[in-house]
Amino acid sequence: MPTFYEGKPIEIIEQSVSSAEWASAYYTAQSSYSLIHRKEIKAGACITAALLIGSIIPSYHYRFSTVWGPACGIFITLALSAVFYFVQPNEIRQWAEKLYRSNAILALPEKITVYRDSVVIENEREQFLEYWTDFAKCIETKDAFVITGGLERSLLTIQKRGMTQEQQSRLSAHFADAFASRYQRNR
Amino acid sequence: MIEVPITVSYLTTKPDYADFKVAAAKALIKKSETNILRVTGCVLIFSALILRAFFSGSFLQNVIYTIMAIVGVIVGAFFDFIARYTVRARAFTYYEANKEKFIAQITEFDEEKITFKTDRYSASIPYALFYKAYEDGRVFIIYTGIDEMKFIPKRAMNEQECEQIHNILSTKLQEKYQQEGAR
Repeated sequence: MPTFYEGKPIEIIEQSVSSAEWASAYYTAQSSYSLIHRKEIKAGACITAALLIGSIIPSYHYRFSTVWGPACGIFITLALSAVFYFVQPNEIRQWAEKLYRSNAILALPEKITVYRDSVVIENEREQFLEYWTDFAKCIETKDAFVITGGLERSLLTIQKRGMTQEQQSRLSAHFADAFASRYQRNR
Repeated sequence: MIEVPITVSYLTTKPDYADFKVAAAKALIKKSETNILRVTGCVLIFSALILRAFFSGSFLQNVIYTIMAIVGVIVGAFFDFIARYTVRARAFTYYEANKEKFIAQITEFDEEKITFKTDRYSASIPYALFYKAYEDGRVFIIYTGIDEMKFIPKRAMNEQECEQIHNILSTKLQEKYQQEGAR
């Protein structure tokens, strides 16, 4: 694999990603598309709507002599907020696990060589190079670096498990530099 | 008689990419879902006609019945066409914005595996590891997972090679192989 003016690798990581780790990375990527994709924002918007509906109860009751309309509205918005906060994340994780199970290559042990401008990913079946500019975003979480939008692999996760604190800091600094405004830290 | 290996090399063009996206969208839609859409369209049209005939009254009611009929026609008869047009348009836009990502590829079909090669990617994947394969009139799509796939435009091969690839995929992948309209 050609790499240009790269020098030595910044880090070489050998890992096997489990179904749960991949699902977690997938969920992180999904949540980071935009603010509205975050479960807290969706649930918060529903609760705000419930409060707004609640605030019109006195005038509604004065005009229609009943509170059934706003009560139904409050029930629906609160139910939706529960769905967005508790149910949907599990649904997304289950879908991610299904995606993982469908792709036998994702379960193979892989070697990830991180260079200044690119990354080389090798496993028993494939070997490829992606430039950091090919990716859309890098999200650093407590457990992993989640890198989205690659050409060959739409979701690349580099697990922190097994890394020393020094390695984690080096990668963190490197990704913050390489991705600039596309780097996000969720801890 | 299948002669292997079969090597196909090509550079993805804008129409190739659009054909691939349309085929991938078709592969996602089950025949039962298409039938449900057709039935829904028919129900909407007949409901609109019946309502117009027996419950016609105000101008607003007539507008609602007309909208129902138009939606019925769109859903029942033109959904496929509209979906295809939309997918093609989006594919064209994506290709124009990401031209540099489409580089020359070589795909080699062997007895035991398929090999994919570009300047930046090389893989040798046994047939058993593929999730599925799909073929329509213009492309072969080979899925490594539900949402990860590679495609080969049929324009990059002659008729004999196309037939051979079809035979290899249908033999090796068996029930994991789908052909347009064959399910």
